[in-house]
Amino acid sequence: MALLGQVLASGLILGSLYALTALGFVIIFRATGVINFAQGEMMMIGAIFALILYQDYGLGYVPAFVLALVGAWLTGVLLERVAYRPLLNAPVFTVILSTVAVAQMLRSGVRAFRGNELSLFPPILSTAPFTLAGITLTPLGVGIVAVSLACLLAFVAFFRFTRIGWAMRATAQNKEAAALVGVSVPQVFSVSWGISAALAAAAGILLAPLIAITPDMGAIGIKGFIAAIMGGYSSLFGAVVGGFLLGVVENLAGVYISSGFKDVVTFGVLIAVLILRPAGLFGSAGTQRV
Amino acid sequence: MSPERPRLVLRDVSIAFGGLRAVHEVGFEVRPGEIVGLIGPNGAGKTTLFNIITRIYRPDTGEIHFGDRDLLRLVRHEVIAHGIARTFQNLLLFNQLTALDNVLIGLHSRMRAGLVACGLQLPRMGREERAMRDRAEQALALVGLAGVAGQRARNLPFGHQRLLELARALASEPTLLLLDEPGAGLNAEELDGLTNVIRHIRDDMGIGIVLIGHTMRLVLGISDRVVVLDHGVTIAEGRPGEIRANPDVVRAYLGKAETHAPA
Amino acid sequence: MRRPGRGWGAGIGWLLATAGLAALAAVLPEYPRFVLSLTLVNAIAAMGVNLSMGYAGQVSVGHAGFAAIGAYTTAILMGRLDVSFWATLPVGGALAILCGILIGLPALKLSHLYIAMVTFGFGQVVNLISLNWVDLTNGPNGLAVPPTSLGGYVFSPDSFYYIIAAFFLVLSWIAGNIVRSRMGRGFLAIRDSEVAAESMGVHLAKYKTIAFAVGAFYGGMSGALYAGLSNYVNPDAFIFPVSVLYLTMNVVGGMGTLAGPVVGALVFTVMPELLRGFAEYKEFLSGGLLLLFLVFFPEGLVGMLDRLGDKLVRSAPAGTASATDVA
Repeated sequence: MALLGQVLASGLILGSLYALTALGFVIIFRATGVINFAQGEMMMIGAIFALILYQDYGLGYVPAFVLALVGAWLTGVLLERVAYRPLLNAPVFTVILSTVAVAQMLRSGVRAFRGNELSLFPPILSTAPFTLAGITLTPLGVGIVAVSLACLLAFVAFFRFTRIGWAMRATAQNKEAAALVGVSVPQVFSVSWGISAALAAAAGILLAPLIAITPDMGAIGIKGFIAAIMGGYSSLFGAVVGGFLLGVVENLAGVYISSGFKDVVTFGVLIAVLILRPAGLFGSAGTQRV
Repeated sequence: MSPERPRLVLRDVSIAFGGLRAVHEVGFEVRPGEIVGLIGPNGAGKTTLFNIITRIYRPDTGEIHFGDRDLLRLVRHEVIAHGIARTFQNLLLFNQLTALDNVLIGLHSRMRAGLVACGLQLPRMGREERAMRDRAEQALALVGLAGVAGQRARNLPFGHQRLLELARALASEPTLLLLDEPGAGLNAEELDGLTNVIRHIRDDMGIGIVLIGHTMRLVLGISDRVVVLDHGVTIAEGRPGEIRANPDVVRAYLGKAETHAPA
Repeated sequence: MRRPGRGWGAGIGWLLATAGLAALAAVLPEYPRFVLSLTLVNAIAAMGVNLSMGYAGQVSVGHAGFAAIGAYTTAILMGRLDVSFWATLPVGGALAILCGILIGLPALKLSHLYIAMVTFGFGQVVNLISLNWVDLTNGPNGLAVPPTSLGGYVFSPDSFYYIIAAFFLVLSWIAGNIVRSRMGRGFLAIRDSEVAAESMGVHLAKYKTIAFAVGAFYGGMSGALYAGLSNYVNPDAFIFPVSVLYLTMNVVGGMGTLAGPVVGALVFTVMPELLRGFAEYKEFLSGGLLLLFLVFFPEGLVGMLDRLGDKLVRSAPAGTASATDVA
């Protein structure tokens, strides 16, 4: 039982990061109807920004974090202008491909500048384990979950209580109607991509102390994507739940099956969900033409 | 196949979308070689009726028979093989294909070549292709588009696109043609040309036609009988002359703040 | 009106292509010939994507998975069970087709977005399995593929070129036949308007499944030929960027055209060779080209040439009237 609790607790750490990334995916999908294949690269960009600001420029952790988020936000807005806006009237897969193209450019662009070097983000909080109710935790792990939750709550507050948040909700429901009541739909697009990038960046920065920062670390963004599908691609709440769920499921598979096949299980779940219940846990059925 | 050409018979057809009654207990007949006009204000349910007949929608109640065939047992792609072809209100051409290819797709149900025959270019496929090409060219000639067979559909002027959809529907030699506002957006000259083609289809080919129209000139001028829908319900049925004078019909149209674009 | 692609013109075209490929073999030194072989192998995979996606509109973001299936089937059967190269082809092809159909089935009901996700997931799963099922695939270390033989003759990568060229020609011919036939028209109809296609009698489910299956088959053949050419397969040859590359070849070359994937394969197989010294930049460049073409030239190089041809035809006096033009 203690093991199960342990697995759950560890699963929540990565799960919280998956939740942030998944949320970012779903925000973009609900606002603009696009799967952003560059979401993982946004995580990487966030981590890189933070690393440069913290290590090379000697800023404190918090300022580096915040500035990196701003940088990511701006990158997201740029992405929207360059890879999405020009393709508003193109078939869906063209837009998807454009985000794939951007992802590749970001990855290889960073690789061109920094090479394939592994950077290690110095641990902000201690990794010295302590036990709580029979479960081993580290301050770092707890810190990650805490900050993730803080980001999620900040987003929820933003979404519910600000004008722009309301505009985003309106646009997600019905673009034309939203435009008619004065919502600037292009602005909503920009903000959506900006926020999504910032959330991914936050996940990337929090993830950084746990793994090595390389141009390819964006690959983990796929997990956020899978989490979003599991939870329901059109549901913000579902994305978050999916994220935590995926973290735990993955950990369970890693412990009880094998760490190598853990990823196969994850993708197997993806395909199974897509085939059996494309709407995910909380989403509504994919719209089909009549 | 009975020697007598099939009649289309609708009885008590109803469909509602989430509480909104789109069509309610509509019934009428179309005999071979007659043109039935289907008119009514916007949203009356005319296109919905076409979508039901061609099995895009499943009606909540009602029966539809074509000859001795129960249409409601068919799947969408089987409808044309049974002799019913249609055009679309807002044009659904295959834009990136040539006019000829568009019409050839109209003949899809009349061809048999499968994957192997196509992939390996078997002789029987070649024969079939040649024969079908001839038929497609004839269909284009019938509507007056023989000269643009090689042009992409999206490059054709609007009037020609309307005619192309008609040719595509005709290619399969249907026994019933469902035309959804084929004249919308055409100028007076094009409308006259279209009217002649439609008349020719009825007179010389004996094909039954249901014609949804907004341009009264076309529909009332050419139909043998007219059915009038309003809010999904039949409010009148009869010869064009009777319909023109029918007060219910006039009220239905004037009651809506609706303008007809000059034809 | 004579059908395009039939008659003497087309026959001469194929003869020229065959002669050209044979001549290149005689003229090119060993390494460029290898690059050409690779180009043709990539072209076959790209053609598969083109058939599924460019013609039938079925998004395929994990095509490298089919290539991996073909390649590993050949490698495993040849290396472990001493099967001849030629016998592995139908097996790999059948497996690829099977997977294509399985992937295609849920796609029948789902929107393009979901098909993209499913095909992406498929590509990832195949890659992960090839990495982790070490007993079968030898994991990241890959498998050596014994040389192919026919009769008594053993092929070197150099002479394997002829096998690849022959397959390329045959598969191109088949693809051309499909595209210009009732089936190809059915695909294009589905791509342009599913509703209209169905009312004209096109069986959507059947055709979409066939599109997936044929595309998968081409992918599988490409992989098998790759295995025979390079005598070595490993999971790295079939990662997601490879699927993206097939897509890029199609977008830049021109989706929905016959020559498009071939032109694209040429550009994107040869270009990295020319950019040998700038390894980091070549991925950036190919991503950039993909984006550029998606936004500004969605019809690709061949599509642009087609449009140009259209304009020239339209400005010429009406010479396409047939003898039956009475109207």
